[in-house]
Amino acid sequence: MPIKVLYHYRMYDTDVDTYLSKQTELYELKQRNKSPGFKFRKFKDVESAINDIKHKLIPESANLLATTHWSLNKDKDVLSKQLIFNSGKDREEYQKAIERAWALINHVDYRVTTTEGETIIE
Amino acid sequence: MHWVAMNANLRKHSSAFVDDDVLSGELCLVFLDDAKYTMVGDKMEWAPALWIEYEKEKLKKFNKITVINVLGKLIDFDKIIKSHLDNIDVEVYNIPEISWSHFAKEIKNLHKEETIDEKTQTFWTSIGVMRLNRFIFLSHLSKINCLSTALYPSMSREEFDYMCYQISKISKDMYGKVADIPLIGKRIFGDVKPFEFNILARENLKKSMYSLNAIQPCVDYYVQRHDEKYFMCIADETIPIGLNEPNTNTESILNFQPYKLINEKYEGESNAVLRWQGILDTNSELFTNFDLAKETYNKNTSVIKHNKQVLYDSDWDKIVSDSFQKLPGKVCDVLNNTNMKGALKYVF
Repeated sequence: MPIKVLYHYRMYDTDVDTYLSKQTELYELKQRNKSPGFKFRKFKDVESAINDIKHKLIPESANLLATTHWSLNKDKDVLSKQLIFNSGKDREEYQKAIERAWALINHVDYRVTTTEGETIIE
Repeated sequence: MHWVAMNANLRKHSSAFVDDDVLSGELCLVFLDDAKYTMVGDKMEWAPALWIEYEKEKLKKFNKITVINVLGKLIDFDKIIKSHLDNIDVEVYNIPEISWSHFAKEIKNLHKEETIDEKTQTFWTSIGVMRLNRFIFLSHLSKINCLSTALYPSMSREEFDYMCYQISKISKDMYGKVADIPLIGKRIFGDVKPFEFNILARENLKKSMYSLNAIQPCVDYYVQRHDEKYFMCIADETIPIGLNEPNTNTESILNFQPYKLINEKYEGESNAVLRWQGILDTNSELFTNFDLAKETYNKNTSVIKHNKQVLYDSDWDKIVSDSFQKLPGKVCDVLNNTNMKGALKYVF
């Protein structure tokens, strides 16, 4: 039974060091859930957006567990990834590849915010 | 010899990976402040082990890997490396005396030896940073209505929920319901630095028979086990209840001896969450039954005295220097060239 999962990525338009120092400042002020206040980056196109957010899976071959469709919104500041899995097991393995990437390098760049869209089981 | 520092922050900034232009000869992996586990699926994984797998193709090009670890002990890590790289020669050097002696010396110098009066309370602890083992500990205290014996930090709802998520995953839903732990922390010393805190905490420890020793949880093949709180307990004749890797309460380090709790049944449990839960459940009366706690404490009198003597009588600098003497020259060179001993000052 195919499972469709949607993720949306936005990226703060600042350099990593500035972003991390702002996060440290918010952490020290105990305001961790507050927005750092930077504008979101406008991506050039889908390919460069994927490159910009530094999307990573470990192992990369986990990509083969899903059919992936990438798209940009009209304003070009939201990159969306739709994944279609053939089974729940494939989805679990894909999720582990995300968690391994978080553990080792980062699944996406520090400056990227991720929101999960609706999961549809067809 | 090319070397790579195993450090989470360096990896996140992509500077802890093997360069393409050095793929031959011997590679040295130097571990520094990299003990933290991470959740992958329902397992606690260790990032350096994932790193070995991730860099496998590059690592295959080396003849030999030398691992140097100064924080605790890696158990059978050579086997883990060989499970990914079967034809490579692996040597592992653990020099835990560097970190353990650092903490022991700090407490020996900070807490001058004192005669401890009769203990008047069973338990006291102060949790600074919330960790999974400490969270489970607080959950247990809450279940037995003993939260008043602990100080603890504030948590956000997200942090609380993430702890519950990890407990459910690791224990495969065998832990049961996590007790309500207040999200608002309980603090009595105000905003003090760790150095000042340890002095203030001492008055409470001196009155208590037992305290908590729950360091950063590691995967089971990384034995850290002891930090300053363990040595504070020794100085003040308080028995540390360890919620760490397997057999924390039955094995010991250096010349110290293990204390005996009521029940050791869960010390060898391989599932970390069930191990901590089991240790707490089977020793719960230490928190609730003053007479039994006192009886168990008294049975440890000779160990308490022995350990205090070891702490105050040992020359901790000499112990480190002796452990260095036993190392091959190339390992000493790496430690000196990487300023590992100096770097430890910043880690702690």
